[in-house]
Amino acid sequence: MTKFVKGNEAVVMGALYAGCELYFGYPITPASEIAHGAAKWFPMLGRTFVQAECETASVNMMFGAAGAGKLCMTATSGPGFSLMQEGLSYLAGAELPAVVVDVMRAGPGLGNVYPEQGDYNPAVKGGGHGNYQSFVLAPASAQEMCDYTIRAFKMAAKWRTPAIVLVDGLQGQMMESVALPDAEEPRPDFSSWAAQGEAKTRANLVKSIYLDAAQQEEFNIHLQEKYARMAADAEGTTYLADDAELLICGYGISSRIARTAAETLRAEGIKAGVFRPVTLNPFPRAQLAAAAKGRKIMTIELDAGQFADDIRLNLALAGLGEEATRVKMVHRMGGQVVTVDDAVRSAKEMLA
Amino acid sequence: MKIIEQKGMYKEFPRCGKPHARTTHYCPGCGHGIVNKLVAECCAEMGLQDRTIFVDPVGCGVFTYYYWDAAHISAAHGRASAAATGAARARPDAVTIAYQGDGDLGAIGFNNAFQAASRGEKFGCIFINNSLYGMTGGQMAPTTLEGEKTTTTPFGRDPALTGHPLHVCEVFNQLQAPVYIARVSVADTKRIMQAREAIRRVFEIQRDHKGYALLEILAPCPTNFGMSPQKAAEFCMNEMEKEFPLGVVRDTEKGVAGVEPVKHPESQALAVKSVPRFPTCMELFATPDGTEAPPVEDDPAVPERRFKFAGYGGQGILSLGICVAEAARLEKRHTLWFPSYGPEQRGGSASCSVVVSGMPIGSPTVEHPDVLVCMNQPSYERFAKDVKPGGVIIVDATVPLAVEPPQGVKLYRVPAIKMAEDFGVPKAANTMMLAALRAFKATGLKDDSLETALCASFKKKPQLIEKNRELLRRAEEELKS
Amino acid sequence: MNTHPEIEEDSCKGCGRCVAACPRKCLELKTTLNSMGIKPVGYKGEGCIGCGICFYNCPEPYAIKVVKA
Repeated sequence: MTKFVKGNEAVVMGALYAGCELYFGYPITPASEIAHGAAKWFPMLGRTFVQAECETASVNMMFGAAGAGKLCMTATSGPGFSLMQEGLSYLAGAELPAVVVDVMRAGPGLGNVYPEQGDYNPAVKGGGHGNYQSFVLAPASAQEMCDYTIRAFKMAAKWRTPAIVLVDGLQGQMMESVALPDAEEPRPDFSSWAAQGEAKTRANLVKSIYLDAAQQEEFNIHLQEKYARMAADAEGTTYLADDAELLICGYGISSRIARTAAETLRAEGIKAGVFRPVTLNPFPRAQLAAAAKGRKIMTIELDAGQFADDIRLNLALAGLGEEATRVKMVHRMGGQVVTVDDAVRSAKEMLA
Repeated sequence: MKIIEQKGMYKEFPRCGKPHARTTHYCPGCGHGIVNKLVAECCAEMGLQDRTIFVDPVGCGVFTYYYWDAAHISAAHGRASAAATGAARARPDAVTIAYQGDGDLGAIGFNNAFQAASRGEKFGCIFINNSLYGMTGGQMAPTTLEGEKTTTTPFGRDPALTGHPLHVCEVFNQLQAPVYIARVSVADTKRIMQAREAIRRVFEIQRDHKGYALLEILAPCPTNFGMSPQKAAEFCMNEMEKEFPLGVVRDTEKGVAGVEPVKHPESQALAVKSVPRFPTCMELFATPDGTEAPPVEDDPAVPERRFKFAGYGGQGILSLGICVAEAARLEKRHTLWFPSYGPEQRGGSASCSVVVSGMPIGSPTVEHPDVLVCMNQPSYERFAKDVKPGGVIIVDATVPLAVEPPQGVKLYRVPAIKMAEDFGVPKAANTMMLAALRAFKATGLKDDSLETALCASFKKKPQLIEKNRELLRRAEEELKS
Repeated sequence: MNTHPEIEEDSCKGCGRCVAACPRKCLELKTTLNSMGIKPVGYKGEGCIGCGICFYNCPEPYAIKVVKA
């Protein structure tokens, strides 16, 4: 079954196919269609939709539902995402699976409702307190907003960690064709650790406190080892990159601008290719290094350079210090979108 | 031989890390300790330990998971009522009990608790009021008494600076949903026995899924009162009860306090009512709702074509764009549509972009349209200069052409607004433009795809379908002549 | 076996609530220290009617229990 729907609606469809049973959310532009879709479809499938009184409530409702062993989600935009940082730290600290969709808009502060990618650091590096990370996926189309929401639930359940689907307002509003899965995902069984209100889970305790410093450190070490193992599920893709002289890096909407820019440059005989991280955490460092070695690197992003810094960091950590220092950025902020013309012009300047 | 002893607690408390620990972390004479025993006893005596999910706070009550032999979810500070909402919604058959203090619920968590109560969430909230923050060292809480000395009101609480003590039961009593609201104390034996009955009532209401229950329990805190356990108990009875009178504020099950027993309405929403079997995702999304489409097929032979539709909000610009996108979908093309986004939305102007291609589409932004449709002057002046050579501009005849179109761009002036009025359907100006797109072969899409898409866009108002089909045909004839 | 309170001295924090609440006044704080260095409650040896008031006044679950013959 194929549907022509907004990216925001595709997210809800993906969540339902993934077996998400509860949606807790607070309305915020440009993520509202996610709440509207959930309010309609969750009850129709016998599942639960709750409009919370604020985003802090949403994320803590998820703590309760996930703690009770059910898949749950919320969706928000920048301001709400900020209010959820403490909750995300608690979800990570109690090793609870849950999915947060952040439909980014221009900030900081109230900003406006137009697309931006300024929530990169809190999403990818962890905006709450303590040494934690979330699993972060970056769709670039309505199809992927459905597919990667399903993957987010799988990763959250597999690694017992919060997962973030990071998109921007334009993607949320854009309508594209979405091929829906043929079957629903099986519901995971969390009764080994969840508090489910039945005899077999009576001894279970969901918590993130370790009063004893040694135990707290031991738990932190366990988390860091888990995050290291998560790297196995990192993914990055390339486009026209095999013989590229210039590698254009971008995620989400920026990766699509990069695609058209690369095609335009190729048409003018300039060897340009694209590297796109599909997972932002764990970052696909090996795939980046393979595509970037010995090449000039330009990023396209809708922020102040947070993404470029992460590209530089990962290049350096992959031993490509030379490439890391030469990374150039093309960026817009405030809700403006980088144009293909901007990208093509900057690429030519870099190669001149 | 009968023994009066503790039930419902672990025999030892290994979770607290000390070997063979059998004492709690509570201070000598602490009210929490008394309540902890009553809650555990009640849960066990009612045989509910398997079904119960305790949602623990952050504060002196944080370590209840050392003691109560049932499942626990330890929530963030102030969020136990939100977490309890999530747990109760996830496990409707469970007995969910939130345990919170007067900082946890009275201050940081007040809105979460209040809104959960207002929604009538199915959990019981046991709320300990000892008039200050215990765990963090005796600071003022919203329930601190006037004149009461705390570490943050060293001169005694001054209402002029910090307001007055918060009466949580009375405030929650303004809400319609709660089934039971009461305030008790554990200062002395008589009060402890009343508290024991009230705790039992809270568990009964959850056992029978009757709705939200709040039980406020006044508790002495000798350490932070700076008093002996006995003096602290007296302070709790004599001073605190002046501010916080004891009693059942509401028990709608029993019609106490002159309130008619409330019969909670069964949800009328069809979707939420329990039906023999809920549909699967496949069944739900298989039912046609106008968004279904044939699967997309790659076709390198089909070139990418970028459209811009612009005009004034209310001229049907966005639906015109969707119409063209729908037509492309019917022909299995890669298609995207998105509404005006970014600063050009200022001043009521509306625009949308459509990209149609045989292969996956890269950037969605339409910077150099192949086809531009303008319904007013500002949009023409803003976008006409960017149209690609070999492109097409269709502009309403009412728009003065102050700016020449770029080299190699075909321009058609179409009296869309006038024709719509002449045909007696002023709102159909966008259908006129669709006719123009068909007449001048500007979309690269088949005529009947565009017509089918136009009719589909009126699925909510079927009576307009025939009308618009006819308008489309009449307009096309006129434009071709 | 007559009716009497059973005290687990190391679990008692010496708050004295039970001593004050006992209607028969048959409890008192001992002069000797428990392992925590606190003077725990002690039974005077007679007078207990098994009412359990001491148990319910005590903030500790295992410091005191009452055996009724």
